[in-house]
Amino acid sequence: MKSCLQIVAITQLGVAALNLFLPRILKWKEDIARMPLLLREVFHVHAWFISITLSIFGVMTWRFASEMAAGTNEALRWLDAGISVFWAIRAVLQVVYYSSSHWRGLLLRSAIHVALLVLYGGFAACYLWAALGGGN
Amino acid sequence: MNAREVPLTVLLRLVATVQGVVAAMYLFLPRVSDVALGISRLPSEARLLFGRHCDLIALILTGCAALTWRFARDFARGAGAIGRWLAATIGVFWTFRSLQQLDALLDCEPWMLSAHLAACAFSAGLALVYFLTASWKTATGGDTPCEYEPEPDATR
Repeated sequence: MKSCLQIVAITQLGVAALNLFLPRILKWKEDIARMPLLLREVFHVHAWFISITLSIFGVMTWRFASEMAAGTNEALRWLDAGISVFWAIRAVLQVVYYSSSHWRGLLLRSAIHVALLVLYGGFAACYLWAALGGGN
Repeated sequence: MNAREVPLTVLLRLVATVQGVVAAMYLFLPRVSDVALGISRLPSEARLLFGRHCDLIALILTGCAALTWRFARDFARGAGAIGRWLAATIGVFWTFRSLQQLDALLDCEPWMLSAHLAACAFSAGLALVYFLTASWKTATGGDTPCEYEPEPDATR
């Protein structure tokens, strides 16, 4: 359980860092530059917001992986439950929010879509497990 | 409850309530801000992004508010490493939020100045409360529900 949480912590820190470079990786820079000012600002704030939130989740999980795995601390169990809800909502959004036109018929994009769904669902399950008592 | 714990407990409960109210406001922000910012005139992708951004902030603030309300008394007792780290990370969150507001403040149109100024002060105030909580030392010390107690060594 502790190792699982540590892997989840590192992965979340990786996603937090990757999120800041998403416009460059997905070649969105020109599209973003053409957006109205307000939308551009919301986009950047949103990206930072996600990265900071995921960094906090990652740091707390890494620092207290043993305690989370033990499942004996009530504050951490609340935190686990909160993070689990966050990732569960994100996993649901991956299915119901994004249009299938982004990936249908495209092998690589379909694989990425499924991989992200498994990743987010896995995060939610891992934190839910910890919130329910983990290894105890 | 120790007399020294009372003011911080009350302050944290107040902060939790305020965060809960702000979270609820964010759920209605796309509709309310339409009047001032003309959100409905933006392309559909932009409206969706703005809506999801508000939903995400509402979700995170609800989490912060719930944790703060539930463990306010433990935080005020100087709640050990877990409590201090929790308070410090929420403090970091609000620090970034206030820096973003400050950035927006420097670029904003004159009619938005007071709104950004208020939002910046609000975020900085919350950051200050959480950092104060993270560094809070009390005379009571000792174990609290937030304090991690390692399991006794079975070999002894």
